[in-house]
Amino acid sequence: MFLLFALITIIGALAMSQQKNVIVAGLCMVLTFLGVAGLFLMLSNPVAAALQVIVYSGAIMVLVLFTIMLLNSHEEEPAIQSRPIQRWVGALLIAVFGAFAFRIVMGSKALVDINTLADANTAVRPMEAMNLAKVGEEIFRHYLLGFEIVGLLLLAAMVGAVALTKKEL
Amino acid sequence: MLAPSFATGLWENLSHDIHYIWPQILLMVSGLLMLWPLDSWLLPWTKAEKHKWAIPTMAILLLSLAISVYTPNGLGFSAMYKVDGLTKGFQVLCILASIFAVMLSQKVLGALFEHTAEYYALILFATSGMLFMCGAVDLVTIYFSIELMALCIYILVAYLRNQERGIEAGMKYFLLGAFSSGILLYGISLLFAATGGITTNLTELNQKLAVVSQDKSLLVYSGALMVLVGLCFKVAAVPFHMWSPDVYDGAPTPITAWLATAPKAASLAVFLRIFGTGFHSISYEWEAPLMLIAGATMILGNVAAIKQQSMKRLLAYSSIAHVGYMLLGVLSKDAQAGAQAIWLYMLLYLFMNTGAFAVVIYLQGKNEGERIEDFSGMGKRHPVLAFSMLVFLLSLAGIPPFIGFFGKFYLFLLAVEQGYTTLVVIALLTSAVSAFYYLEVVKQMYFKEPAEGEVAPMDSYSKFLISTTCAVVIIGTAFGPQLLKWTDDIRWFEKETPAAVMEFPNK
Amino acid sequence: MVSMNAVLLISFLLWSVGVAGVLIRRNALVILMCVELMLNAANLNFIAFARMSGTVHGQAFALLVMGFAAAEVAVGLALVVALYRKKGNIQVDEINLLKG
Repeated sequence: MFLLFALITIIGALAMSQQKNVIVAGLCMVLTFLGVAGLFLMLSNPVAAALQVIVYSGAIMVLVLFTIMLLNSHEEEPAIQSRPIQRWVGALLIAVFGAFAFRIVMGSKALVDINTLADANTAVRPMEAMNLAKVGEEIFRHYLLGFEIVGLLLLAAMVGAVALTKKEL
Repeated sequence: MLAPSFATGLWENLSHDIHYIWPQILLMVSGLLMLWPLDSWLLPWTKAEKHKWAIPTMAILLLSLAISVYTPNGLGFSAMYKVDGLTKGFQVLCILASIFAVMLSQKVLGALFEHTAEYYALILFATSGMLFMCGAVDLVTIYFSIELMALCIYILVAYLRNQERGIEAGMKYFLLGAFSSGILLYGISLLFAATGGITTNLTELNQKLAVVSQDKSLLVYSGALMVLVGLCFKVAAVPFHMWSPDVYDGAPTPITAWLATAPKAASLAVFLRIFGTGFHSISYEWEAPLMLIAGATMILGNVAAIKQQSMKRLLAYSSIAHVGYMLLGVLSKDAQAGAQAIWLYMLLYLFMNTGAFAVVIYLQGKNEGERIEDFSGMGKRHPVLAFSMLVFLLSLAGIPPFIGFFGKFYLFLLAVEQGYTTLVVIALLTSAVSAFYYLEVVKQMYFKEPAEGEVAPMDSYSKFLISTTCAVVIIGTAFGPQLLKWTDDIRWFEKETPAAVMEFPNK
Repeated sequence: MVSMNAVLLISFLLWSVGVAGVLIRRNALVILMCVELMLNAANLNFIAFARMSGTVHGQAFALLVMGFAAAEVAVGLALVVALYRKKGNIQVDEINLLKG
């Protein structure tokens, strides 16, 4: 199951970043978000999974897709001047970087350690911390200031979005 | 049964530590009130559109400045926010910069009939984000306050949405800023992973990272590096500076002046917190990259400024270079001395830079001032203005009699004491380069024939601002040698009070 | 049991795809979506390691990040709409990080 969701996530992400049609890219993105939600479930965190589906797949992507359709510009125009050398250098860099990271992440002794630690932990601590009441309490107690700042951030974003898109102020 | 106890518990939690964040609360609430359509009877004394919002905004900022100075020291909000000398010092810088920005805005906005409550409300929100940044000692608060500031700034950069340049600059800034925040957040998540998923508090992080096993060091290394990259985007240090000239060029000029000072002051405070407290124990991980970044920033910022034709771009590159100098202070192993030197430098830079931008804005009112050639013959046309510009530019270049010199002197002295001799040599050489392009402008002003053009009247705000900053820069020179003593208050709040355990009432 | 290695690898791949997308693509909307990918990758780490340590800290952070992502998207889309009104398209040519 984990592997399945992981594959959905990665394939969705890759398809999104390669897709020329923006609407299809957006739909691939929804797939990715659902895959991530599945991963959250696999990590026995249903709260985060539900919020992921509601916030990302539900709110954010609907907003993005609406904008895409509103603007009616589905296709990416070809670059005015192509930069093949840069493209190749970039791809090469990414490939080297990715391979390097893959080797290190998979082969690192550190993560095996973490892994065993994780198993030990789950044996001791069941997932009682993963319910909504606990998270809520944490947000309003420990994370109170962060919560306030995010609230202000949402307000500022709303004000700014209105200010930017209104024709006349 | 849960609801009332929840509300009272929330209120108790909030009121427990609220005295640390009164300045921010003031800014938030008044920004909020400004957005309400109450202005017609709330502000009846100003029928004139022009000063309707500017004066209340400045009053609010001044009030929060006063409050922030008198905030008691302490650690609050579950050890997420800390008020100490560093916090207060940088908060003062941020608020001063915002006040200057509001003053500078009057002429530009007045000409375009863009006086709106939103503009000032966003400035207030962004300022409160900066104030949070100055005191944040937990990666959670650091990240979200950075984003609060950044989101407001993206909007303000694109604020003149009838100008294509402004929107393009806003778009570019937004995309790169969001990209950098993605890098920053991923770095934070890696560090969180390296501590075993326990803490994001900087002090605890410092202890945890110090004892992280050799195997996990990859996580720590990449996490610290990504955080460094994310922050370097915010201060426009060199490999990540490419947004800066375009954004400075495209943004409304008052916002440009603000961008060059306030967010940088706040980001440098975050730099000092993270690298002075959080990553102190793993300084071997980030020291070399930061040295490279600082060196590259000084070199590229100054060299690229030489060939600029636009005054705003020149000042953009010069601000990149100044950030390079200030990163020397972050590198200092004596974090406190570094913080003091940076604070002093930033304070002086704030005055010089705001003054220079005020002159640019004044000339812009006549559709010039954008290009360096527009300054030709200014010595004859506007002798006073040209003289102030001369003072600002020489001070920016760090030529001895002016106060810019003292800022640089203390910073470089500290770096030499800490053993970064190579970097200081680079800094001195690039300062010489910077004198070249600043003097180029001076040459244009005094030794070129003036272009024809009549003298436009100055508005009172810019007159006041130019004269004040100029006076500060000149008078400050007399106090140069004592300047560093004043910074003694920029001290870490050493005594760590144990984070008070906050509990909800029994439910 | 899910191994942390695998989670870290997936989140890293997700993040790298996001970074690559930002660097390669030219459509502002697609770049915005790639940034969301990067934030999601970080969220995956937070949730996974909160699970590992059995604490709530990471989860709360992840939830706040979701809120922030919504705000960021709102501002980004507003900018996109404003840009589209002015220019008639939303391609960003000059934003090429590899140019330096």
